[in-house]
Amino acid sequence: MTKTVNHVVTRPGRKHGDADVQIPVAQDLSTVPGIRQRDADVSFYSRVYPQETQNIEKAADRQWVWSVYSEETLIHRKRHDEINEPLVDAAAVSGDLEPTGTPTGEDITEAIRLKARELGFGEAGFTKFDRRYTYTGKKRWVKYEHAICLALEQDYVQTQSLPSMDAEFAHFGTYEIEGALTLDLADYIRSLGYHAQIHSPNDNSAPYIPMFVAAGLGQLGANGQLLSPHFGSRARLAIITTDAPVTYDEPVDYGLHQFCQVCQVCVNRCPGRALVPDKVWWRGVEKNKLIYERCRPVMARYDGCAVCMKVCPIQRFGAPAVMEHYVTTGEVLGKGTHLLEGYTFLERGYFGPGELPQFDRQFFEIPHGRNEEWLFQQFKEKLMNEGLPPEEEIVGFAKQVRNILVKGNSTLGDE
Amino acid sequence: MFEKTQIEALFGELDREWRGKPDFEQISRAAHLGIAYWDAGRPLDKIDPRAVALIEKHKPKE
Repeated sequence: MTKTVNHVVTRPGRKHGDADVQIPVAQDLSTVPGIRQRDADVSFYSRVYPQETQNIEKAADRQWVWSVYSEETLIHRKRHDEINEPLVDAAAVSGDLEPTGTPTGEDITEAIRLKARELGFGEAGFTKFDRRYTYTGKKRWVKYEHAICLALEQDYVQTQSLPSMDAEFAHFGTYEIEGALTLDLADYIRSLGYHAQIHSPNDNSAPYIPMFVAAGLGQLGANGQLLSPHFGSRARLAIITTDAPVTYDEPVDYGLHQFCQVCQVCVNRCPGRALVPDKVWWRGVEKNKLIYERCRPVMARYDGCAVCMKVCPIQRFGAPAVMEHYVTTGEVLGKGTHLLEGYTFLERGYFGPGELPQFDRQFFEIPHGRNEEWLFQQFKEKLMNEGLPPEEEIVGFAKQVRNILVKGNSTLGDE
Repeated sequence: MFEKTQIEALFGELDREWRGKPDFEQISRAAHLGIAYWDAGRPLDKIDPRAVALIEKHKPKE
């Protein structure tokens, strides 16, 4: 059934120098540019319930994952951390570096965008750094008001092998490359006479996706990830803030906000049933709110899982082809096929369309909250089950809590 | 519809013939799109002919 086209989005090609692409958006997929949002609610929740980074709020499970990683994953993760650490450290102090050139005062939006594309970023967009999203621990760290949103595409072929170590090599390898490229781009901005602060993808200052949506680089998918037109969620995100004179981009309606409601492939294929079909209003935006506790245990034990990325048609085929197919046929390209929906889930074998691995309830019981919260939870359960512990055990508990508190809250992540 | 065995055979051949060559990724992308089009009953006239050849070779028997 042919659909009426509401509007056509024109975007630069996937790689620097490629021809522009056209994305036809069907009338029944057209909603709003970016995302449906109640601005007053976003402000309210950020003021009354400010967010903190997962590296602090979910520190207990972030520590737990290391206990369930395979030997191969452990070795790779340690190697990755060694490579990544200096990049994260350099980003952390990047905002303090003085410019090396003389500013002209001219708008340098396109100069930065061109440089970003030349460096290899698949998407580069400009918007205000929305401080309402800034994590509590980073509020005093963020220096400049303009955000340059940067997406680096992850290897296509390796990604299609998800979940696998090969895909994990692509995942972490992309972060390593991105860390180096953001340093290069920040140097370039300083050479033009302006400050540049790198918001590392491994030490996030905020949830970055809202700003990528505001900059017109994609829309939020039902899988909780940014769906950009060329590579869906197969990208790693970073931000640079600057005081350079730039012009903001506008949010775009690629039809994806509504397309996800029609598609639902990621929702139906999620091994942990962590994705939900319907959108809800959450902290002022309308979104499919994923269930973290159903996602994390699967991610940790199954090579990062990411089935939701693998089975997304926008990721697999790109928005131009998927939207053209929808306009022509009224169907979701690849839906219901082994090609798009099938996946092999390590030792559990192959799951075709309509088939999902099963996990018992215990599988999802993992440490939760901050490290000290989890420690108190365990202590409470011990008290309930075994009564008052001996004095040395209480002292041991107190020492553990003190060690956590002395160490303090680190915003540094390990991804 | 392409079944798992046919998909594996196609990408296995693609891997043997093209991995390490400059067009490997481009043909891989084209093969994914081409199979999806074939499954949907769409023409393959806009798909890279090298991917079309693989699809024709490994497609399900009518």
